[in-house]
Amino acid sequence: MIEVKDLCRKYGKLVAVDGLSFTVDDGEIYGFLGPNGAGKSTTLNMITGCLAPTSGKVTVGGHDIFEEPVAAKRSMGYLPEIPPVYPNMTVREYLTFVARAKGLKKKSPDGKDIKSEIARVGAATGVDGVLDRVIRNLSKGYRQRVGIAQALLGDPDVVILDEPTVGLDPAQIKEIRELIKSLGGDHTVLLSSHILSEVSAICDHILIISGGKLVACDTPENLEASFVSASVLDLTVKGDPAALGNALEPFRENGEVTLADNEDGTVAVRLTSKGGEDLREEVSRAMAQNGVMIFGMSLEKASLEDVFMELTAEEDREAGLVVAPDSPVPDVDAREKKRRSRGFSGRPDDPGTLLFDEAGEPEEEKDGTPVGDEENAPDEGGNGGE
Amino acid sequence: MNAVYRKELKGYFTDGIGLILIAVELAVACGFMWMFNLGVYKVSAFEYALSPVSFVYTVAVPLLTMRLFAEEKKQGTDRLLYSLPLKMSGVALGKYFAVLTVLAVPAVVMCAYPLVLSLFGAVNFKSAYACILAFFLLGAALAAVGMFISSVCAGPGSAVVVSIAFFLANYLLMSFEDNITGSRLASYLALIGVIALFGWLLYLMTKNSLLACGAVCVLAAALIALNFVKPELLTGLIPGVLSAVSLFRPISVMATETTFDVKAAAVYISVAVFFIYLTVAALERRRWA
Repeated sequence: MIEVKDLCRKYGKLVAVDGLSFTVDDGEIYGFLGPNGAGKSTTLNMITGCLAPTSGKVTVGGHDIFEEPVAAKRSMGYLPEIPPVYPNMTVREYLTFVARAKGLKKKSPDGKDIKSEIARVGAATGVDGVLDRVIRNLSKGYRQRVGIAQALLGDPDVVILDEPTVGLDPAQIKEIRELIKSLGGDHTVLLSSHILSEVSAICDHILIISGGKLVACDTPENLEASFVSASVLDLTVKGDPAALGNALEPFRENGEVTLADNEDGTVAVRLTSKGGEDLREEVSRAMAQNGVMIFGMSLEKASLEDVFMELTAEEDREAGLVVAPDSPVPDVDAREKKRRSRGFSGRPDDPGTLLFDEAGEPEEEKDGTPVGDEENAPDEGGNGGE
Repeated sequence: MNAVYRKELKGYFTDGIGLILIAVELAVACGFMWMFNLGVYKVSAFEYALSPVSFVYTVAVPLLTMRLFAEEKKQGTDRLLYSLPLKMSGVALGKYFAVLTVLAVPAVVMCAYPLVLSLFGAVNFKSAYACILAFFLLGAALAAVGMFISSVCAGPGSAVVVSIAFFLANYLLMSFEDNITGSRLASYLALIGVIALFGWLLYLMTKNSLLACGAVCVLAAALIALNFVKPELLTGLIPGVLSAVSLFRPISVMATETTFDVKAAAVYISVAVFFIYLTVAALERRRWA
């Protein structure tokens, strides 16, 4: 439904969006993820025709947004980063204006007349109780809802939402997320956010951009699976130390084993498998054979946050944001080597591909290590989670 | 276009600015009618009263046009207009026609004034209504200029200041053209100033000093050549130019001569079309900014 090809946008010498290509399929909810300043809003503004690209092409519903703008925009509803509302108008007047601008009529045989559409989107977004209030007097959350309501007017096939839950309280966030989820299937949704939990909870697919480039495109599950770290298994066990030593002996060859005594007489064991295998079954068997009791076991896996941090940190390294080799940094080398061993193609148009560099080849080992960029860190709770 | 027109027109009457300006314009027209036609001078021609009323436009039109696009930009609603299935020409025309409607109300009401005057003596209706039409067309031309200024300004405040300054300067040209000298030396000096200004603007736009200096030299050489080849062209040049760019002058002339100037009406319509075109171009250009 949405096809973006080699999209590029420059502001003078600054390249905000650099050769972006992706396809958003019908009826799917896509999350557009990236740190602040990654180019999310610029990309969405180009997709919706608000901003002209330096080069590249965008088609919405088969219509080129720049050559057939009216046809393309008819099938699209857009909520920009700042809700585009007129403070002097009442909610009803505002929605009536947008409905008219979208070509809705006073009376329509298919039931999509202005009055019924306003009632529908008002009920869906929870603004039906404030339809006759002046927007200036509404809270930020309600203005956001009004912005979403205007995007849904006319029941467009494609709904594009730029940070739709900003400014909402936790209860409102939950409602809006439910609303967006309910749009899936009948509508194609492209949702921009830097809140990871929001994206993973709502979206069928995730597009991650950093530094204006697409760095990943896949389902949340596949992204997490692709980035499983060197498998780390944490155990709490109790038993004879010699027997425990025997049980753990086979695992020392292909990994690391650390032990620590707990105050309650149990032993905390951490098993790190360099190969990344899931060791739970083998460990259970070895412990049982040696008469060691297992009180607890947990496998540490990469979260979407890990994926996001790693991919965006990679772009930072490419951009030259590196620190001295002796700086304390997270260990990403093991994960990176593992990713490379999985043989991603690196083609920009290949969904499910994790991009390494422009040439399609995994990037070379670089000296130095990524900066723990506080500004680019994902804001999980900053905007009020559920 | 219809959606934008209805929204803008409703806005003018909801926040009262439209009604206030209509009332002020009619009150000022009444005042001058009393002064020229009924009270002091007792002239039968309504056109005399209408000429000074055009001064109201220098403030009224900027107040109507200042928010058209500058406020959209300021409050972020321009994104909505760009993302809706509307053509920018439709958006500009919708807003422009809303301003025209507000300006048309006092013009229509003023049509009753000659009828009132006819109760006191003979009135040349043809001339009076022709002048009201020209008065409305002047408003239409100024509205297009004001809309363009609004489309290139960052906020309504700067738009209203720039518009009032521009319209006042244009209004005052009427006084200048009568008093300024038309001598060849004055024209010569004025053109040198214009060439220097052009060179400076060219440098600001291109940052190419060689190009700017080259352009200034070529134009200066052309001016010197003109001075030798056809010096008579320079005589009376400045008053002529000022007269040509003064939008308020034709109304003044029509009022005193009580004749409808078709050429002036064509100029007003041309100015309106040209600035609407510029507005649409400025809106399209914003996508590239």
